[in-house]
Amino acid sequence: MLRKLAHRPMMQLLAVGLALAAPASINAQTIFERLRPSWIFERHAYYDPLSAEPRAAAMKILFPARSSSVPFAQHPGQSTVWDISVGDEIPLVGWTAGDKPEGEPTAQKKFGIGIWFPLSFHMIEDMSKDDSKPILDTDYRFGVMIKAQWGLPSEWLHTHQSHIGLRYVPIAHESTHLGDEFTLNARIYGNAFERVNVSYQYWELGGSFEPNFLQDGRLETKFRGGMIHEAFHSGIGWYDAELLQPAGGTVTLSNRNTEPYAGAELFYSPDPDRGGLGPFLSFDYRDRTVYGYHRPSRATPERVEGSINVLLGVRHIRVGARIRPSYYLRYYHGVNPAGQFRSQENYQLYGFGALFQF
Amino acid sequence: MLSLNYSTYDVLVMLRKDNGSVNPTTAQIQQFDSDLFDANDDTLVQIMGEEGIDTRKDNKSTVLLYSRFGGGNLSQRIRSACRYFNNTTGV
Repeated sequence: MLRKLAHRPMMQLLAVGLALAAPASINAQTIFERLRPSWIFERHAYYDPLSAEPRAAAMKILFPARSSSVPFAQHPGQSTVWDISVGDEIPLVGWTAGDKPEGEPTAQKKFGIGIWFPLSFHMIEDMSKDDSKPILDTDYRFGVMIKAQWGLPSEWLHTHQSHIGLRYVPIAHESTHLGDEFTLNARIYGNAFERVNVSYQYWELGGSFEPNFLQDGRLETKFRGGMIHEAFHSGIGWYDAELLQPAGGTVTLSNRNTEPYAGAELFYSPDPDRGGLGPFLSFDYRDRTVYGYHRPSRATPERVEGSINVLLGVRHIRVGARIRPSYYLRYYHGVNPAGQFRSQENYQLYGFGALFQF
Repeated sequence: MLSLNYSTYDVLVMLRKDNGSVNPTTAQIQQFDSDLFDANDDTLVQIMGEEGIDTRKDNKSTVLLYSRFGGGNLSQRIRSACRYFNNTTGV
């Protein structure tokens, strides 16, 4: 059932793409020409991740930051941390009609579809509280991503170069790892310390509406919604029942294996002639599952907590420059997003961050 | 002689940048010109009018070529290209 659910949207996407790309009466050579990629290994702005998307494949640094203490930390209380994401959505191949300069979204009234390879690593380190400044957790993600976009008519409803889009991840993997020094420090808890193997495959489907307002569309907005669903894990869920530590220990498998989300981003672009700083606000909300490792049975539902991630800052646009840095204040509250700590509610993380878009 | 919406050499420069081919066919050039027109012309004409530039074919071609460089969305790049055009005319 999960496999059917996972593949149906992909087949629909491909069918729509091929139908839009090919007229009714065409010969074999024309079909071959139509199937030839419009671009290979080029950046195209189809459904770029929101700045506030917590596990996006992007280059982000949060430092300095303050974080709630995590389960099995050596000492209680908040700590100073840095939270790093290193990754990229690597564009592989795409098909689109019409004008398609690199780095741009689809042209008005044109459809584009492409395949990306998202790859990212996410690390958080305690820099103040526990011995030897332990890395708390490192997660990595990779998968296959299909993104499609339609350019609305240029001046649609008084907006400018607006777009709608879809993002479908038919299969991806996330693996999470506690830091080795953190694990050594946790020996003080004896057999009460549990190391859970949070590792799973998932599929994801999201939709996007991206209208631009004011003169020349300088107020750029993005509205997103979607869901992530654990998949292809033999019905196990987000993590294994068997503990990595202590040997022979077990936990209760997850029951709620889907998480819906929504987000929005507003950016007021500076004067394109001179560049400069433009303010932005990015917001992500996820209805997260609180991993319940010790529920009476798997049928017992987990707790759920709405988790918000808000970024407020400025984006630096420089004429002719390839890299777009953003500087912001970040506030996160909800389920701890890091590995096995997703059993922790009311987790809080805030600090100063930077994002580098290429 | 090709009949295009924009000046031939400007179209060829943009095609060279976007396509990279050293041996484009006539059909490819015409298709590229047509794609440029569909994607850009209404915005080009509107913003050139607002910036006081005559929307002749050669002016449109030059502004469109300038707009392929610089940042921002299509409207912002065309606006910026118009200003560059106005500031450099007669140099």
